Amino acid sequence: MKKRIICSFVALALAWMLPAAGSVPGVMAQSAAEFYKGKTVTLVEGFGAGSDFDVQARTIAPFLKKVTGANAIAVENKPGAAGTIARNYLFTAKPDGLTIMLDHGPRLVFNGLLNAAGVKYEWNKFIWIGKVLQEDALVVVDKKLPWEKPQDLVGKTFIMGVSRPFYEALFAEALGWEGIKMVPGYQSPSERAIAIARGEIQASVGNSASFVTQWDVVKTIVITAKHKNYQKVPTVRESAPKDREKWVTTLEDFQKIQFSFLAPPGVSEDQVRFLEDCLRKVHGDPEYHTKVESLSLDVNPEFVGSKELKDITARMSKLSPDEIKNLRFVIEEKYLAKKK
Amino acid sequence: MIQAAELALAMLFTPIHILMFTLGIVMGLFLGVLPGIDAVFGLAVLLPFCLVIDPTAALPLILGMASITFTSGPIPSILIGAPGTAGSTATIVDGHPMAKRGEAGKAMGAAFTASLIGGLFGALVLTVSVPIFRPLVLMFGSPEFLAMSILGISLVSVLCGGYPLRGVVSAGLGMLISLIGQDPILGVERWSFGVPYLLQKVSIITVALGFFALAEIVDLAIKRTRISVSHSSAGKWDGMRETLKHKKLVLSSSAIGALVGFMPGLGAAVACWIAYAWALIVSKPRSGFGKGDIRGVIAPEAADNASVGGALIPTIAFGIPGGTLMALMLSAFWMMGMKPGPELLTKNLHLVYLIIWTIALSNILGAALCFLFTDYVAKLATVRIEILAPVVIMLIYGGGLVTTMNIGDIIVVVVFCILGWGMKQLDWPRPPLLLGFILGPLIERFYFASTMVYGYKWVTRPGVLVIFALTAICLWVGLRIQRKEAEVQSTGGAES
Repeated sequence: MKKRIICSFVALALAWMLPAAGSVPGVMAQSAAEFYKGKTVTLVEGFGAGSDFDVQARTIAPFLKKVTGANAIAVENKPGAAGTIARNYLFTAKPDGLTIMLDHGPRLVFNGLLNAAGVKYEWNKFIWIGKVLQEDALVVVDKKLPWEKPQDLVGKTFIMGVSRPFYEALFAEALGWEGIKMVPGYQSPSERAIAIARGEIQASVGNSASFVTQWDVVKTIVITAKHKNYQKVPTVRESAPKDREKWVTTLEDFQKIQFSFLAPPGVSEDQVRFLEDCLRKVHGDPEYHTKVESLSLDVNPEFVGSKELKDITARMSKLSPDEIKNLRFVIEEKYLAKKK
Repeated sequence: MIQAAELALAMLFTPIHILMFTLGIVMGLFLGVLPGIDAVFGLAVLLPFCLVIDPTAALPLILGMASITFTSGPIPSILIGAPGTAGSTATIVDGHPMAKRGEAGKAMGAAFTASLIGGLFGALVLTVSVPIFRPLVLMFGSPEFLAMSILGISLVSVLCGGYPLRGVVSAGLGMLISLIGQDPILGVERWSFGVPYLLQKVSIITVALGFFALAEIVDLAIKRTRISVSHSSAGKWDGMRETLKHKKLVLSSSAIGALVGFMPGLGAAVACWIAYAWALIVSKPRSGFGKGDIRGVIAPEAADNASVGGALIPTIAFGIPGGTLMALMLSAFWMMGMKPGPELLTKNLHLVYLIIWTIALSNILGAALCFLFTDYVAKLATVRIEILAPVVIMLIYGGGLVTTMNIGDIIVVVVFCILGWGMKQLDWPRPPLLLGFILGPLIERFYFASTMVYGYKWVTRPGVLVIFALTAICLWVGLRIQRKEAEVQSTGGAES
């Protein structure tokens, strides 16, 4: 009798433990889901009310709330110094999984690599959660000009208006546009489109939504990746000379990490996995697609997960000091117009 | 076009739109009265709603709120010397001395009437320029904007109150302070000493709150006096009559406001100072300016409200924001699914007219409501400083903190209070510093773009030559004013 009782206890214990032992991640995800239930998650953005980041954060917040089970997703604007203040804040935020950020990505890495002014974070310690939106950079030129493809700009001298140089220089380096002169001070794509219409500048960089009301003034020459609305526009990889492939990859890498979600260093793996899973669910939500399209934005065809983002940034963290120096020279100096 | 205008008017008078419009008006009225908290703050608060409300309902809400802050903004400027909005900083110079004289009601009456006329003028400019939006915007490039900014800084010659050298030093100091932060070309750190807060540009509102408002309250507290010891019988209706008497000044200042507002980057903060300088140039006698001349209230207030209509032209036609407020407005349009540009001007023209009607009606309603409460508000000037100071100081710090919610804002308010109070005691003109602070970044930005694109040929462009001719006239008139001021030096500066 006693033996039977002991056997029954052992059998019961095994029956209870075995399925649990076989699905440890499931249990962890379950605990993360439990953790977020009823909590308030702060979604930080560093560019201020009305910025692209603010709009996108506010757009995704209700959808994230639904899938995380959180009580609220509070969007917090921490503007200043082109996102540096918000990144500094995130870096020292409590790693409890309740503070995340929607960030520019390329600026975070570039400023971190250069240890730029005001940077108080170690860029490669952030945890990359995922990316939902599609963000492709494209180059437009004056519609009146005879240029139709990227190769037509090789050997030509032309002015590209920029807000602060970044993608423009990478396009030039990847495509061999040695005659480009970047002129800063044109703050928005619309402002640059008007400068093109006035004949003040000839080209500009924007994203897939930047020039949708300006097609009477500009035409698209090249894009970073295939996009449903720009199917006939060649990509940088298709157009770049073979010896510039390194720069094509750099441009693509920066593009891929733009508009990513981040967590501060130290957030537990299961929380990151849970948040990634939630972003993936939002990415697949048709209602979210409809909302995003109403804002002239696009959901990325594929969800970009934590691992892919981590792989890209790992490549960047392997850059040697000389490569970093050269990257800075190309982006900030090489193509900058000199005062005449 | 007429059909679209009629449709927009009909839409505005449906129950839901009346409700949203009223909400916007009440919110704007309240925000404008709080020192340092303006339409930018209000719009930032309302932005999330734009994602969920129908555009035809959201437009009256946000535009009603934004337009009316420009009307109620002069209340704190006049009463306590604290700018309600960036566009009412110039109103302090003569409005506050009027309040000290016991004429707060008269000053406010004049300000509301000028605001109303200016606002309607701006809406009219917006209406008549709808068919020529695009060619109008295309006329102005970086060189013209640079020339306009130089014209702005040349106004120091008018605003330096009989001390030309002090005026130039003051403006130069303002320009130097405006350079703190990251440079606009490559983000190079300038005088930020590794402090993250200083990497961003210091807000004009934060500076003005310390420089004028807190300095004024400190001064009153030290003297243990109240803003005004007497309450003049000259009330709001006298102010209104005075404004209507200066028709030419109101209309010309409104035109200046609309034109400056139309230029991206300049906005109401610059428009009010240019209009103030304009009043100084065209008025005779000028000896009362800085000591409570009603024309010094009328001109900036008309320009301030007219600048909204002007700033909406590039915003609607091309999606180019004229300033921070219009940048937020643009985001609101975007969230509502409205795409500025040809589509808005053709397929959704009724929305453009909805914007125009909303601006016009909110200016009328705003002025009427402000008029209604003027007598009560004006009495605040006679409240004892021991009671007034704690409340006002709290509001000033609150207004300063709203900008970035960083403790750095409070430090900036205090530092500029010390600077402003010191300059006031030493009889140094303060308006040139503010003008230099506002125009410094614009001059830098447009100078780089102009010289990089055109070399030094930018100075030969026809538009630039016309603006330079105006600048020369301004300098000449300014020098004449200074010479006369020097002759009657005993009367003191235009403002300190």
